[in-house]
Amino acid sequence: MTKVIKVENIVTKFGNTLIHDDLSFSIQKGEIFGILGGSGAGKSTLLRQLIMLQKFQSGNIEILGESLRGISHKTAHKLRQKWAVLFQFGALYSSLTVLENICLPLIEYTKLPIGLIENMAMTKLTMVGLSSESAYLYPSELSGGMKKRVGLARALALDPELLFLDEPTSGLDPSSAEAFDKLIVELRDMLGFSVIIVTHDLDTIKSALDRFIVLQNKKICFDGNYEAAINSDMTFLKDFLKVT
Amino acid sequence: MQRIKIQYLSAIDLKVLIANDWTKESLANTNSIEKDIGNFFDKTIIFDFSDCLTIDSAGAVEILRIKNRLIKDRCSVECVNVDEDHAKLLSFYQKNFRDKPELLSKKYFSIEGIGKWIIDGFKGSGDFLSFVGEMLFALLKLILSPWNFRFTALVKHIDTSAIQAIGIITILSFLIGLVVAYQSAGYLTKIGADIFIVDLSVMSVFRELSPIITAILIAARSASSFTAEIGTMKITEEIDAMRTMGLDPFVFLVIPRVFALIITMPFLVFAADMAGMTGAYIVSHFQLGISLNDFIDRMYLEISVNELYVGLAKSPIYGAIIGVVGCYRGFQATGSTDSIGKLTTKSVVSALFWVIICDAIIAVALTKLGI
Repeated sequence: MTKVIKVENIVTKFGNTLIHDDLSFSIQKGEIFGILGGSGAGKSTLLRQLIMLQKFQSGNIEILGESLRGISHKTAHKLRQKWAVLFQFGALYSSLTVLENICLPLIEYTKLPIGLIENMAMTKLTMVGLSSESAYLYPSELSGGMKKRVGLARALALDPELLFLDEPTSGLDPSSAEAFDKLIVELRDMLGFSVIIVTHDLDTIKSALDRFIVLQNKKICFDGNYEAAINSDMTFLKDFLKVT
Repeated sequence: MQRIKIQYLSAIDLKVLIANDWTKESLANTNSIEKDIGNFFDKTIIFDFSDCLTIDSAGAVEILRIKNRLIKDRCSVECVNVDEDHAKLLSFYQKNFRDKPELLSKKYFSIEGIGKWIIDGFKGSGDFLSFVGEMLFALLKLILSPWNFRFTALVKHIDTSAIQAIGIITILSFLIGLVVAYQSAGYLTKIGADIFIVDLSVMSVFRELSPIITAILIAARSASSFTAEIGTMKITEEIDAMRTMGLDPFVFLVIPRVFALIITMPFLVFAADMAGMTGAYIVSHFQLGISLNDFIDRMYLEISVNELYVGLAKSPIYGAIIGVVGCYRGFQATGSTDSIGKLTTKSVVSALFWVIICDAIIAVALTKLGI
């Protein structure tokens, strides 16, 4: 197994407030990896650091063999094409239709003929479980769940090696959330990318994650799979996972 | 690197070798391989994948496009020597393969389009009237229960919309007065009518220029900000939240804004008048040598105070137009953040449009009345 992400001794500070104190973990290829923790534990900050939207004070992050510390613009640009991010509310471009949203990365980063690109976009749209009727809708005409699915289709456009999901099931009804979890697992099995999920949805934790870390008190208090977590005797973890 | 090779086995059988990489990079700049393989009808075709190295989503979709095209042309297609991973990938993409659906409503210029435009226009004016009606109803309620009036909001909007605009309005009016006087000075000297510069510049500043300049600046500053503020509140459901709490958004948002403009416009126009007059005097003095006493005497004798009053009197109407249009456009916001940008543009343009229409009507009416 190769490691796609290696995080070593990350320290984050906002002014004088310490957010992360010496975090280290690694993520294997093809794994669905969860970053969990209570509200304000710094999960989203960690995710933003992984995708180079935010800086860290010390330590190092290595993604797909490239170290993020002192990374050159060129390498960063290349790296960004190898991963894709699904933001919490989809972050679709509101002036573009669904189809144009999915086509955008393909048009910008490949030189494929437009007919093929549109065909690929439609195929990805079907992959995430949306019908062709939604192709010409604008993001404002979609429901929250559909926005996330379109966001996922756009994220999958360039066949990423890494997929980052920020609370993918928040705001979805339980059955849509379950379907979304299943979809992620199915796509991972099919296409073999690694997935990093920030979540606090218990069902996602149970059904989708292969392994996860739990952030508490600025540190990682747990690193392992669900079985190990429910069998551990840390009270915080039991509370968090609602194990009685 | 050749990705496709065609071997004829017999008259109706042929073999297509799928070779090398089928990826986004290798397919770049190709004008779709479909063309090479497009002219086969009623054939039996075997796709041989034995030399195929890698396939990604672009490659898989391209292969499926070719395959579907051949099937449409009544060929029978069979895939052989596909390795397990590729087969899995291809069947996955096959399952999800879709063509682009036809776009139903085409946005071409048509008679239907003209009709739609006109009907939308009527509907729009209906919406506007109902907005004004709702506002007047809220105003009536306020007159009956004046303690509900939002004085804090009014003061805040007076500050942001008017007081903070005084600087730019006086500077621009000063320059306009200066320019008008400067442009006419040359002609007036030629015909020896130097002193008429006072009549000309001061009258045009009082009657037309300063109300219009003020209206333009206020429309640009306030109509746009009203639209953006209220539009954002609409999108973030703040207005719905107010309604469910029984707070009338017209009382809270619209009336303070509109009244802030109605109340302050005369003062702004007066400031603009004084600045414009100063500009005119400076040119008269330095260009034509008219002294301050002469300037004031001439004004006193020749320009009736009505000129000043007319300019001041029409300015609250402009303020009302700008405020109402700005708020109305804000309430039109729906769904996307995109709409706010469009509505802001629309609000400034239509506010100015109606201000100038109104100005023309007033000018004609006053001339007929002889004021």
